[in-house]
Amino acid sequence: MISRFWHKNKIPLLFLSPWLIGVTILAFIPMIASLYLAFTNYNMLQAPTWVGLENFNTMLNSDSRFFQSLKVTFIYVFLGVPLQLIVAFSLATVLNRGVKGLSFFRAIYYVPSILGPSVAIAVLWRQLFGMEGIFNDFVSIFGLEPQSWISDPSTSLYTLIVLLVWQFGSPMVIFLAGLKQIPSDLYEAAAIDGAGPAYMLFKITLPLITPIIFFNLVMQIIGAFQAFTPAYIIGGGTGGTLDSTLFYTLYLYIKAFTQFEMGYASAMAWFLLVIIATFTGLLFLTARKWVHYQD
Amino acid sequence: MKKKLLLLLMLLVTSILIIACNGDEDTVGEDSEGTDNGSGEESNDEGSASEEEVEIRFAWWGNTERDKKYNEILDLYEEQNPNVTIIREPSTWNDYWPKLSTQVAGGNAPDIFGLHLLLYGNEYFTKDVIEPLDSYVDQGLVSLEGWDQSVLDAGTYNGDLLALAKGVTIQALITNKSKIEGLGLDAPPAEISYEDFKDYAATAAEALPDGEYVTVDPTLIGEHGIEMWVRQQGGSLLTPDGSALGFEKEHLTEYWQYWAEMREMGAVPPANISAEQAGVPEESTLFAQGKQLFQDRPTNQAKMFADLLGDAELAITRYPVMEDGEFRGGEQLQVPAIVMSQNSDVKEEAAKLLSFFVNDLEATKIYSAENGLPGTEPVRENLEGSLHPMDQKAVEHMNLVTEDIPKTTIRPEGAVQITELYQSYSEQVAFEQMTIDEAVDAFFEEAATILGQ
Repeated sequence: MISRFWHKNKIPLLFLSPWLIGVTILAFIPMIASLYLAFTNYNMLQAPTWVGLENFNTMLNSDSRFFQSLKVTFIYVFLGVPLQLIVAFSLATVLNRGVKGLSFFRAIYYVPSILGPSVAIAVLWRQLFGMEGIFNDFVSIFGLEPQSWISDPSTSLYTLIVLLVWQFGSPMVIFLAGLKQIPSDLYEAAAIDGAGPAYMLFKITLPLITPIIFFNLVMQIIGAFQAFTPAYIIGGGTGGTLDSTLFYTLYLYIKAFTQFEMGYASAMAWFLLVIIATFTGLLFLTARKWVHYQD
Repeated sequence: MKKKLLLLLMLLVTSILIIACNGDEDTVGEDSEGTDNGSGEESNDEGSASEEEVEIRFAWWGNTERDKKYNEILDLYEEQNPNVTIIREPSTWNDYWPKLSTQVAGGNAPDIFGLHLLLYGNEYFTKDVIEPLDSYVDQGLVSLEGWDQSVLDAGTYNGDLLALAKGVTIQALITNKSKIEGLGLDAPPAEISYEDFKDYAATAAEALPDGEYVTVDPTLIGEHGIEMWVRQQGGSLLTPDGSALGFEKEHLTEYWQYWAEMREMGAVPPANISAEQAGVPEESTLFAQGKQLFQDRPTNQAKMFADLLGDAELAITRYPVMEDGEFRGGEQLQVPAIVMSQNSDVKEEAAKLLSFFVNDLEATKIYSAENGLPGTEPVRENLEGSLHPMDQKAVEHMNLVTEDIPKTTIRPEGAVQITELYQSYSEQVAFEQMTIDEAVDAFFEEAATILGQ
């Protein structure tokens, strides 16, 4: 059986082998290991000991920082992603109007998406919204008191959401491609029937672009749940003042590498997988109701 | 044409990959070669006798300035021992610990690495990670000549000598004397009680302009402050077995109250500024910019601030004392130390290098008390003339302090979680999200859960 499979697929498998070996060693085996570790007490220096469901029990019943990290992450995802998509969509419609130098603007707007999750930008953000930052010069025009937006617990998370929204480039490019697919005769027909721009937006553009919205929503939500770098850099690796920027992944990192609780951190990682799978699954379930594919 | 270009590109990428991989293999190959033969050879007092090529991995935490000193010392060692190549692995403080724990877990810890005994000693001592040095002392590879017993004790666990101090340092208030005199005030005496310090801070806060402060809010920079406070009253951060907190609720209540009053009178910055200060580079701290009178730091950092402040005259004021406490002072000796990995393949060579680093007069002169005062008499004597003036003050300070502090303790396992918990409730208090009483109750309750596990 195996030998027949091997005989038949020898050449494709050989060509695939670099990737196959990589994915097995670097992704598959560590994943299995972390699934095992999730049920153990493991400090990385001594052999893990089996504790059953204790990690999950502690996590859900007596870890206040865990719930803080969930709260922070949920606000980040469910406020940041929709905002980001609204900005991306609005700009895509503007660019779709046939602006001169379209490819230039498209490139310019795309740049933040490439730079976004990097350490350099996070450091820059820290400077922008810090006590001595440019943002304070800006708000002082409106007579507001300068403050440190990064370390004030009531504003710090929102600076990170702004950073997420600012990376609207990649969903924008996808929106733009989607907008270009909409046949122009639909708009012409609507115009003849006397439809205004708002009517066209809600009755033609949005329904026809729902598959793209759906795609962007799923991708960005998955990405946002896993955000790590901005919070790590801006909060100095600690989750910020009053844990106001303690992202889920950051807390996971703290558990694993500063508190030496790799077992607990593995449990958290698998729990995150469940959360993301749940929300993605929910999106797919509701998709039947609002996503219209052109057949 | 296009196809050829693509082919060329792929060739290029592949060759880069091969080169990159090759580099790694080379080092691995040499490494194992050195060890296979290394175990068979007899150790010799003369370094020149062992001609086998060896590679020693050496890791430390620090900054670029400190890296220069390490490199100079390690270059010197390589020069004297041509068969030895030292692979250097420097990191910043924050990156050092996650990296180290990962390496140890993966069984590829550096042969020699730095360990901060107060903070991380027990995390590593209890886990069969560190090679005891006693046998190398007996073989004459590691010298303990002239070492202070107290410093050796700090690196001993269960009767095994595990760590040798790179230096010893103590938390203190680094004082900007010129700035204080500029305000028309006298610098405080070398020792001052908590009550007197509060009065002094009140006067100084009056004299300072807006945006300038007397000292750092210690509740927001970690657990040193509370630890000293409870040690002065006969307690400790945690009981030695790590099963409970080593102090009572009223200790914490009084401590937070003391600093809440300091915050109210403007002697320490408001919470949001303190929080921002915690993350800035040294040269941007209020103290380094001349906007603060005292800086709450270990004394070995005094010389760095002296350099940053240019011609201002600095002094070292002892952390406030408690005249009616069980001990006048609660300071801990902070011991950044150097240890050897139990997994090392080149233990004898590593032992020689380790001993060289802490004992050799030339090497320690280059290091120049970077991590605090050396724990060995001959090295201290040798440094006497060349010490930075601030380090000379640190010596006086240390002599003063060591007279009346309780024994330095290494924190038991679980301490990291408690200190992070403490920090988070300190912030709740400073940002006035919770009253002091609420925060104390919540902290004690949650700490009990963590320690009860």
